[in-house]
Amino acid sequence: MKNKAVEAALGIVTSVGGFLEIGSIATAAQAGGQFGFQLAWAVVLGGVCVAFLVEQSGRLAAVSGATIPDAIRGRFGFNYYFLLLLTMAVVSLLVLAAELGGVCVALEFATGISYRWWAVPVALLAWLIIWKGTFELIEQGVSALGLVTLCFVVGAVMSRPDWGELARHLWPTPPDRDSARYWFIAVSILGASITPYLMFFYSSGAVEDHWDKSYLDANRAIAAFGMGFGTLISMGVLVVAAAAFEPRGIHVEDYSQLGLLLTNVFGRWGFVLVAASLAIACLGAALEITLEIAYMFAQGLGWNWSENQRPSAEARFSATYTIVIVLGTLVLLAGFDPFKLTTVSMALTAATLPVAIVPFLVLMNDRRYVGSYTNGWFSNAVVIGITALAFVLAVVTLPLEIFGGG
Amino acid sequence: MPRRFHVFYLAAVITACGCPVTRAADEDAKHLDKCNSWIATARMVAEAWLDDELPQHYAAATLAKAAAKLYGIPACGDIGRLVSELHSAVSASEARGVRQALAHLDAPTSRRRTSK
Repeated sequence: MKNKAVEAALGIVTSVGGFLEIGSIATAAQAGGQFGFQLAWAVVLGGVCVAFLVEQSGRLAAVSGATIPDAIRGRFGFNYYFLLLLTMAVVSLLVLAAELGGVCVALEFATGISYRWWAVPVALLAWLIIWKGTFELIEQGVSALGLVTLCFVVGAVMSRPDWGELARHLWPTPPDRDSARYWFIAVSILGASITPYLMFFYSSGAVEDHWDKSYLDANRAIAAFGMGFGTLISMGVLVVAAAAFEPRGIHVEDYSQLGLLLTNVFGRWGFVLVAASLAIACLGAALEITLEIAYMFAQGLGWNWSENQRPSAEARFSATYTIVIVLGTLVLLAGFDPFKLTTVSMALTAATLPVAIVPFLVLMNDRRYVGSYTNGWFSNAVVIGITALAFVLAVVTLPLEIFGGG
Repeated sequence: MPRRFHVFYLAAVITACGCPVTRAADEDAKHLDKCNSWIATARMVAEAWLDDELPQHYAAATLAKAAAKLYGIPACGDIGRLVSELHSAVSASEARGVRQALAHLDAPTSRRRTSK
């Protein structure tokens, strides 16, 4: 068995490398470009909430030995679980399509060949990695490469922001213009950070790695430092976007504009770093989401499941992730604008948060599952408060964005 | 009941956002913002390409997209044509043509700023 401290460090590195995905990049860039530092608070709020949720997911798995889907089905019955499965599968499919789109856009940046031509090769690559790879390879390999996204933090420091101004906006302030757009981007940032798929994937990983109560400290360290550094990277994207785009009046509404994020700071290397970050971060997220949907079906329906087994030993699990990748690719090929798909799917994630978070919180306060390790009032209050805020904002702003208000 | 719910929902959406029903002036301002945003994008891409900070294929594709977006916004006038010229110059690797197109792009933009 590996040393716990080494595992915690590895987990932190994994969380940092795996934190950024297309939703975080797109929404933080939009926020920085259009509102400068004004939406920094939303990045921090999302980061705090996801740190609490990830810690709780790991605690549930370590204490009860059950994944979140297992526990929800056991506690709330199959009918509720089926509703959760359907809701999360639909939203996750949209997010998957957006992530696959992110990899394709990065390849378009690198080669000049339109992103649509890359959809099938990227889907095949993702499928091949899951088919042939192990959980460790996906969790640690892709995430280690994902450390390239730290370039946004370096870029943010080198762009010499007004730190005082940034600090002032860590607390929500009302927008001075275009309030509908402001709140929609805020909710998209929250949706990009507080992703139920991350919690579900994390708890499945903890079970795959045979965590028990002795891992609780490592779990806490991973949640706090991993998510903390991850949030720092998202903030880096917001800061570089504010530096590059806001003074010029550039509102990010298309992926093509993301290629300019770091050119001010790193010149030609900036373009290369953005393309590499997009490709790696989105591929990692696409793999995680695909597995998460397959985990949800397998764990909820009582099938064999493990990314560490041979596909033939868990045919239904393997068939599910294969179908998921095909469906995600079809959504991408259907002709939706990938940028719009990303922002709307992030807001939809926020709108559907209560379906996953509320039963999860009930579990985290149920001694039959977590024994004496139940949530304190503060953990409950933070998660309920932020989730409720994200839900209300999403329900209010989504119609405006979809039907032309944004 | 469902109808009443729809009315309530619509009222809540409008009230909570603090945005009255969109007026023509708001729409115009939004279009002008979009227009300026894509002009600024085109300028940034062209300048970065001149400084050899961007690959040609990316610069050309982004300028083509900016031109298409500008053509689609009536408030932008003929700026789409100027950005198309920029696109053609970058595609042909003509740095001088890019500088000329940038100068043309600056002229109508500054006129519009003055008239605002």
